[in-house]
Amino acid sequence: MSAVITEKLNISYNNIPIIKNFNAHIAEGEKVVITGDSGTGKTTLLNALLGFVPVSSGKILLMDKVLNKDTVNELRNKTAFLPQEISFTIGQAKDIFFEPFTFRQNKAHRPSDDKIFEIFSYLNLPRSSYEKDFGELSGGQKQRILLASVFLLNKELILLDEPTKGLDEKAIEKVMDLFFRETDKTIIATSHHPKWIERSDKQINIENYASNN
Amino acid sequence: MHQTIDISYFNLFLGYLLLIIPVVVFYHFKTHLVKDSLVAVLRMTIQLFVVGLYLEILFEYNDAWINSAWWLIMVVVAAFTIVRRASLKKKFFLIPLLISLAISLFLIDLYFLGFIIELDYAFEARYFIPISGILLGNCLKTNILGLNTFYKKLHSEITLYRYYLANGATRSEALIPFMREALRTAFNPLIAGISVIGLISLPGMMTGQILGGSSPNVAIKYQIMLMMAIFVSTVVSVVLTILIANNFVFDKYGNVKPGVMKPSSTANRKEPRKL
Repeated sequence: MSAVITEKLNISYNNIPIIKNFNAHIAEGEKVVITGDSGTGKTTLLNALLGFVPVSSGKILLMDKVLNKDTVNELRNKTAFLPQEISFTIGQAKDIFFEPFTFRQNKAHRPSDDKIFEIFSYLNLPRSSYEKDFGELSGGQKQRILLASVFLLNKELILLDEPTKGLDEKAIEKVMDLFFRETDKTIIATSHHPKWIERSDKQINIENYASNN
Repeated sequence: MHQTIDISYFNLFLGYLLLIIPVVVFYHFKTHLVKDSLVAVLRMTIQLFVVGLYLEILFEYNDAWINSAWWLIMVVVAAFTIVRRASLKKKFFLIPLLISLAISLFLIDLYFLGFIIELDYAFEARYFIPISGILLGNCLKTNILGLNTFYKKLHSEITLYRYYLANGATRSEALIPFMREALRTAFNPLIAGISVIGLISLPGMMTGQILGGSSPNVAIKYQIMLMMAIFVSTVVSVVLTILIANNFVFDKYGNVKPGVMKPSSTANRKEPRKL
């Protein structure tokens, strides 16, 4: 089974072409890193793979199924996603962390308190951060809380938009160890981090598909 | 029952003379509020005289059809007002608002007038029109607050919504935090108002009833039941509007259609004071 296939994908934003003729084949379990300067469409690509950004032409297949209005909900049940912009102002850290596990689809993976604090301590998150307003936390803490949530969801296709943003080298190592040892999971991350790129199986430079090429 | 003492037109004029005080104060401090104040008072006067005239006619005929037509006009005006004040697009919100206001108001009117006050004639203009008016006025405020919060938050926190969707939420599940915020913003003031009623101010309807000759004992019972009716009808209308509107607002991918919120927010514009 393939995790992601794109065929002749073209994506525009406000009628301005962003990504042109993007063809990719990502096998199940593969760790892929998407690189390229900011503004070249890395985030747009991840959003398109999740059906948040309409494609102008071409096809996206996730887990061998064409992404369209009839399959989008079913496919999103198999994904986990860390967005890049995470300065949410709604709710406490624990709401943001725990909310995904209240969805019917994820109830089976609802973590025990022990499990939550195990991963919190692994990621050097103080227990007190769990009780704080999400907006009060530092960028790196927000990032690690969401990464913990995304990891525990145990999905087959994980999309991470700049997972190393705001993290120090030690935390980056830990996050990488956490995700890269999941051999059966497909992970697509956007990153500039040399180590993340080095540990990935495949690198896609989105600039090769930028519309101005 | 005592009759309320009428105010003669001369005495009404004497009442208007009090306006000189705020006008002088505003003028002295160069607030540029003099014109606004005078226009507001003029508008109030005209509007109330017109309404007085309508109500006289409505009460005289006391006809189910005429009363229902008036009720419907109030619902339509309320729906238009909410759309405008909450900076929403008519295209997406007018029909949901009309449906939700009509349903919530109809049900609560029926329950309140039919089962609690036990009117023989549920369309009795003296009850039906003012009660519907008070309920709608409150629906207006809570809907403006609720809808504005819901769709503004959804707009500013679209990544949170996407974060939930992409992590296995259905559309309704992903919208729960936004519903929570909208309900909190819309109903905190109402709950606070209910909890201090009678302490800080006597509510308008109760005051009116007492002036009209009712015993305080009757007036408070009406007030309590009215607060219940306001509470329920506003909650039902806000939730129902959002649920119905969401069928128009999202596309098949669960994405917000472009142009749901008007680009320039007029929601911060000064709201008319509650009287």
